[in-house]
Amino acid sequence: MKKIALFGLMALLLNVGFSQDKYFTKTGKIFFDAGTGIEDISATNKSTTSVLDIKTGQLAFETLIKGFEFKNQLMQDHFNENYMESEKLPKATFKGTIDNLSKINFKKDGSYPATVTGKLEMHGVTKDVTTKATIKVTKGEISAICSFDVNLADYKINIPSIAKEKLSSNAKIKVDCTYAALKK
Amino acid sequence: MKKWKIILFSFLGILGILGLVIAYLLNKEPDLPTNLPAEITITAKELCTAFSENENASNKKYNDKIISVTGIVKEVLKDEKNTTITLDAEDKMNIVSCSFFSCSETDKKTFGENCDLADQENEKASSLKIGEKVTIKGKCTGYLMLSGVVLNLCCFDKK
Repeated sequence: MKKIALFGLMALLLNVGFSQDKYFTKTGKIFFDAGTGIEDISATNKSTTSVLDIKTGQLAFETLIKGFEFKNQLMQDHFNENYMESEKLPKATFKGTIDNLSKINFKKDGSYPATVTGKLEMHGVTKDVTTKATIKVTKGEISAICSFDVNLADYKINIPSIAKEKLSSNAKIKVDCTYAALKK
Repeated sequence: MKKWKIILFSFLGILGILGLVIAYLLNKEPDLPTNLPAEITITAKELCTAFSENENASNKKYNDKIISVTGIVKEVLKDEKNTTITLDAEDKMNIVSCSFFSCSETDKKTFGENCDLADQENEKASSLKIGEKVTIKGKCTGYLMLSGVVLNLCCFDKK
């Protein structure tokens, strides 16, 4: 399964460079929040890569688990070692499409609601994800923002009972990417 | 002083110190590489070659380490706050991406002086010119198809 996902991503990324329709970023941001209000359990990843094809609506993301920065070193270590096992499973990927592509005019400035459907792979588990997103076009620059919840148990991320009060079983994920056109 | 009193007080003393150590460890902020020595010194080309030849072995060898990388600036990418620069690895498919750290208001409480230092480095990186030779120090987080080898919390290595 992982191989198929990787192959798909590769196929999409290798297409890059042959058309004006591809947009990319190397500095996409992902915010992660799994706190229940007792303690701040949040992290930011500022080096997520993403490719968007405005012609086909295909969208791919790749991010490194170790790139999530917490405010607290111990929390970051636990996240990597006990929950995400980032030594064994260093990446998370998403590959999907914009469902309502025809409603988005990438040539005209504006803010467009979008629905994105695809497969999210993390911690070695692949699941279907559908989420609402907002796509903004400003002077040829495209940005995409979306938020969705991830049920940790779905991805075989086990929360020990000692941490159940502090750690939410649903993590809030927010993605914020600003894309630039890929030059030939 | 009676013997038992000495024992009691030294026991309480040790308990107190232990408590402080635990409290410190529980609340310790992540280290910024600004004041940490590099564990590995390497060129951008060598680092990329290592990852493209064997990603798993390189993950084990380089991830979480503070790496000092020397290379030629290929791109300077800026968003509202953060600067990311990429280093040429003399290989069409490969680069090293160095993400600098800029502090938010809450980061300032956590990192104190280190924050100002990181901000200055971030600012300095934003004015780098393409083609300049630089040595960057940062924490290796792995390898992505589009970004090549990714270093986080970067600063200039002055050694």
